[in-house]
Amino acid sequence: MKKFSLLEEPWIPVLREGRVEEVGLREALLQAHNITRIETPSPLEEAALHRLLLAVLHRALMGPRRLEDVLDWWRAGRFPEGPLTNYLDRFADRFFLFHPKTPFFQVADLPEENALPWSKLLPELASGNNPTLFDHTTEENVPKVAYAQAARALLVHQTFALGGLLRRFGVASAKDAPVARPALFLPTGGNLLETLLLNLVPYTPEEDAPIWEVPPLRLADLEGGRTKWPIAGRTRVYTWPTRGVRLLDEGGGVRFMGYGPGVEPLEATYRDPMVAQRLDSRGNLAALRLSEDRSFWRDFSAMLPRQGGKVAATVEHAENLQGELEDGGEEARVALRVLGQVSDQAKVLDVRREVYPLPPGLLCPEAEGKLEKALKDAEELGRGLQGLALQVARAVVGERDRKELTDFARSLPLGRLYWHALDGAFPGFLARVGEGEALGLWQEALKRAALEAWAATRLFLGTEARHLKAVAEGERVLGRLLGELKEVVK
Amino acid sequence: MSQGERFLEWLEALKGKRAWTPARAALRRSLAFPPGAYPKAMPYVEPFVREEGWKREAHYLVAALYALKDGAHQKGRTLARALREKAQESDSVEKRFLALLDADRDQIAFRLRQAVGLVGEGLDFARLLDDLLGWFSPERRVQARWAREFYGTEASEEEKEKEVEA
Repeated sequence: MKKFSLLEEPWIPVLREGRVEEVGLREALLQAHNITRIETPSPLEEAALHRLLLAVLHRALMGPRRLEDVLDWWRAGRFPEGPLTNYLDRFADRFFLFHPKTPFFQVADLPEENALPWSKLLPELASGNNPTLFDHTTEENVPKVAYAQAARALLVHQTFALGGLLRRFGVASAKDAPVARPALFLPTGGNLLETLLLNLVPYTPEEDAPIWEVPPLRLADLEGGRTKWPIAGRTRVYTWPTRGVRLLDEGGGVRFMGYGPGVEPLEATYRDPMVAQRLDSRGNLAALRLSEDRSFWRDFSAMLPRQGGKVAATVEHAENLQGELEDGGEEARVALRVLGQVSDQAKVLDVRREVYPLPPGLLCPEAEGKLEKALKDAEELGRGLQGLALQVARAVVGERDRKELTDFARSLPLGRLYWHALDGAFPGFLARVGEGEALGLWQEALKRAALEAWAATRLFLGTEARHLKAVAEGERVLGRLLGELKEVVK
Repeated sequence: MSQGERFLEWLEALKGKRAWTPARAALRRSLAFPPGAYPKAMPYVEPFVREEGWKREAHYLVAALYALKDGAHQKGRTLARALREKAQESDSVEKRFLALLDADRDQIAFRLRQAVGLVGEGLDFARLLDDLLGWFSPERRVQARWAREFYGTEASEEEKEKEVEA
């Protein structure tokens, strides 16, 4: 029996006129100009939902072929209704969450035996070997979830599943989803229409098809890892069947699912539009990832051409669009959302969403140079402070026990507070990177951050003579470090 | 004018008189006793002090050290700076300096006398009294400043202000 059409039933959480509500896919696209944004606490869900909407748009509009197409839609203030409606009607049968032959993003004939709890779809939830970090659901008491939430979880899983042991249907271990590990770059505008247009990078529709345009996958296709596709074609990758899933309807909700292998990805020369690259230590281009212990902005300049990197195509596209609009006397305020998970092999360590301004003119050599200098200054001072922490530690605990020494140095709030203050200051700097005094202001921010972190560190230490000695000597070093900051851009 | 500067004026006036020789002897001798406990030194200090307890003792201590140095006041040359110069020649000076910073009320007279005996030339005795008056405040700002002076970093303006307020 067909049930829960993702085109019509509400399941995409959006912010509209100040209220959060759920809408179907059709409404999200046709009313995008009236919707502020997709509104979800989960960064992964945010990324996955946008990718789904973009895949539908690329196919329904057979493009955009050129930037001009995007500009036309922007100025029209809505997506062309005719092509969209036609397209959605044509594939309406492929968008049911439950369907005897073609359940959305699932495999209809996966057996019900050995069912898994639905919660295994979400990396945020504890199950299998995920650490109980965010949530305390256990596999013994799986709650029933509404269809809408199950649909979103399915989408997130297909987009972000990490490889690991599988041992099902002749497949020992499963591979990563194509964008499971890189940071994803999602420029956002004033409403959902603008956001989608900012990410609608010009596209050639030939030799590409999303999951609903190809024949539905059967268990027989997936057994033994039989089906392998090259990672190529934008909407194919946006809707990559990373795993075989079959949600089991319990009437009004889902508790369990059939689960198995998906399509195995083969390496190809595809670059995902939302992914940026940087040069790794061996001089190869590698996808830029989020890291556990530092905010993304510290790697901001690594993806810029000056350091041999490549910004995400979405960012470049957003910049071009912004430029065109400005030339036409229009203004587009764009923020950049960096989304993704931090992983270690099959474990999710963190899920992140960082938001930065995307100032017009960021991708020019002058702004890049300033950005590079700013980040270099921040890292150098950060390294200096690390050395300072070690020196203070040495004065307090002595040199006898190396481990005690480094542990004590790490326990000082010096570095943590410094980077924390800069996390707050960086977006402001980025927004003004085109202005003459931006670098001077940034260096002031660095000094302030270091001095405040030092003041807190001093309180952290005692007032015995050896502590006072450590502080006095530390201050001399700090003075030298701050003196070394100079405003020079080449 | 700070308490230290007023007290220094008093001591300088004392030094200008003919009675300085017996006064100096009595004050020096007082270093063998707990501060303020040697009767012969009292006429030279007692008329000046108003407070009881540690503050009274600090006056006796500074007067005695002033006598020890034969009234060689040198404005701006604090004990920490003088010790710093001395530390260039001898490694043990730093150890004594650190011990001085950690001195409690029982130890401070002895350790100060040792430290003052170590350095040549004069000292800023006005500053010394002011510092001793604030020696036992829980924030230990005086000791922190001494450490900065000894290890060659000066207090920031903000720090100086805080200390004045305290």
